[in-house]
Amino acid sequence: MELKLDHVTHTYQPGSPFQATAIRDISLTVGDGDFTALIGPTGSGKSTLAQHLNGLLKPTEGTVTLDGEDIHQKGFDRRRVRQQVGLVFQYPETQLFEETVKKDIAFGPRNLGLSEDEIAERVRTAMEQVGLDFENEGDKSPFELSGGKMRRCAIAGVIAMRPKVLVLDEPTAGLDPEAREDLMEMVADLHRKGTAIVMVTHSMDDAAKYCSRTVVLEKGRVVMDGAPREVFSRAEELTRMGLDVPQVLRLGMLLREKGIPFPEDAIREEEAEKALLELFGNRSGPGLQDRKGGRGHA
Amino acid sequence: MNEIIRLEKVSYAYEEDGPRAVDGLDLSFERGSFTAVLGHNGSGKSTMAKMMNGLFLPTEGRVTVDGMDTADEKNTWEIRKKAGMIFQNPDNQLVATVVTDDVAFGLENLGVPPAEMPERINWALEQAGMAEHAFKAPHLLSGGQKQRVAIAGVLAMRPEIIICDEATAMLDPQGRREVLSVMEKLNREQGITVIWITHFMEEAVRFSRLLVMDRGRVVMDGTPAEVFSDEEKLERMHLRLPVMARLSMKLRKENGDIPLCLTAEDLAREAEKRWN
Ligand SMILES: Nc1ncnc2c1ncn2[C@@H]1O[C@H](COP(=O)(O)OP(=O)(O)OP(=O)(O)O)[C@@H](O)[C@H]1O
Ligand SMILES: Nc1ncnc2c1ncn2[C@@H]1O[C@H](COP(=O)(O)OP(=O)(O)OP(=O)(O)O)[C@@H](O)[C@H]1O
Ligand SMILES: [Mg+2]
Ligand SMILES: [Mg+2]
Repeated sequence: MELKLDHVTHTYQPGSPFQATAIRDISLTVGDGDFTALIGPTGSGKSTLAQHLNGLLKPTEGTVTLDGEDIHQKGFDRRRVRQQVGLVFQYPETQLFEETVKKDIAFGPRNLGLSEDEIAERVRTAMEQVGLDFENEGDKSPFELSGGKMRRCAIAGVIAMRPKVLVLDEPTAGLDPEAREDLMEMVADLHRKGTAIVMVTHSMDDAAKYCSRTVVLEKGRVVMDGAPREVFSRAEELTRMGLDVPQVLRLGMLLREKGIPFPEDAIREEEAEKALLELFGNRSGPGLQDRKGGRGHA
Repeated sequence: MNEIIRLEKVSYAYEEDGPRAVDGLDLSFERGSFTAVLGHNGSGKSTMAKMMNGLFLPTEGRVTVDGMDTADEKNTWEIRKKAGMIFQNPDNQLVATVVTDDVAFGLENLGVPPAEMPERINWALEQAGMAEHAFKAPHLLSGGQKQRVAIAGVLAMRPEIIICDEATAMLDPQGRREVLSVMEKLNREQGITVIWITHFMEEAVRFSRLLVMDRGRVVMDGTPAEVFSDEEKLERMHLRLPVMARLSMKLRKENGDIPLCLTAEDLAREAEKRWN
């Protein structure tokens, strides 16, 4: 699978007083196995870009291709894109509408014209994947669920289409810390099982922890694209455009200012933990006595 | 009188005989205080907030704002004027077709003289970082931009109390910091009472008082240092320590004299003391 944006520009409401070019000349390829974080300041075009990935928005200029075929050309079966590229909107739970959780999740697969058995099987698997209980929660109204579970229900509806690419627009916004962690673990699990992920996020910590690639948008253009460690090393530029760096990186800067040799490339919490323990764990203190084997300075 | 909001044995049920979303709250907020409210999804934060400006009336008990009972209809406008609220979902609170009109709308409702409006509106848009989008259509803005318009709308009303219900959930990191800084400034310089509902533990450490809700009740109430010193209880409440606090506690296990640190600055300072 290869999903490709080639020099894509999108202008909303061209010719009207509200005309606004939201993304400009964007070229980007999503392939199997990718886990891409899409970050950028408010209004930089992330949601607009996300909606081009599954053909919901059509480029004003440029093309979107799936395995080499232009998805907007005449005769192309658009359902193929909808099926292969699942899009989870910002606050997707506002779009739940069926009487029961099962029916809501079955909506997409049913539109694919699958058999009832196949639909039932997909609903069951999707619920399992997002951590909803088929027996106890399947027949509930989605509106009786808590905020975090509603979000999972909405995501299950997209996963049930068995997409090859899952695009998530700020999937953890509004979730409590535990629900947030659970959701990210679930997405990481889908990724491990072969789904390519594109995730719009304002959390630099999540981008650092989960993603293999970070794409930065500013004013509708891609201004950085690389491994999280590379991208976050450009702290000054990121801060200038309204973004930030992972908390661990900021801690590292403070420590190095004080002459403490904290590794420059640590961006994840577990890396900070390891580095701090190496630097300070074997110094005086009650924890020291019963520990064998010294850990020297890094 | 030093209390500006008081909840007395307050409960709220969305349906008659239904479960209580807020359950027997006894709580008050000092004038000029700076409080963050934490709690898992569905713990009752928004329900409580909506009772604090009279949008919801308690099923049981009494809520007073600056001494005025919210259940007394003749207080409604006075209370709305005093307590401005920024809701979780900005889509539900934008009404006009141009950003400035949206901000003006609230002012008209409060009976603000038209001559005063432009200045207030400009100030509010400036504070919320939306001045450059003043003449755009709210429904055509991005999620974060809409959230900023809603914030401007409340700031323009110059309330004595500002209740923010996850007002920064959709903002970029700097936007989140800026909005919180505006609140800090209003609190410090003008004595505005701020009640800030959030899921971001890193924001919570900047407040002087934290409330943790669970099943419609307040189960923790104290300074950030107090609340974050009980990691086990927080986890039971489906919450987490801020990253820096977690790192400092891991280090404490190995090196017993490192205290709980709430911010990167704290942790760096404590580390420096032990670096020789
Ligand atoms: N329907 C529309 N008509 C006109 N302009 C629009 C429309 N939707 C979005 N825009 C504008 O396009 C730009 C990009 O918006 P988009 O929603 O893609 O941003 P975003 O990066 O997702 O922002 P956020 O982080 O706030 O969600 C913004 O300046 C926005 O005002
Ligand atoms: N309109 C409603 N009708 C029925 N029950 C509701 C309604 N709104 C909320 N509830 C229920 O009331 C309880 C408290 O909800 P509330 O919205 O106050 O929680 P919250 O702490 O703000 O959660 P979140 O962090 O998800 O915003 C939950 O169990 C919720 O399901
Ligand atoms: Mg967006
Ligand atoms: Mg809420």
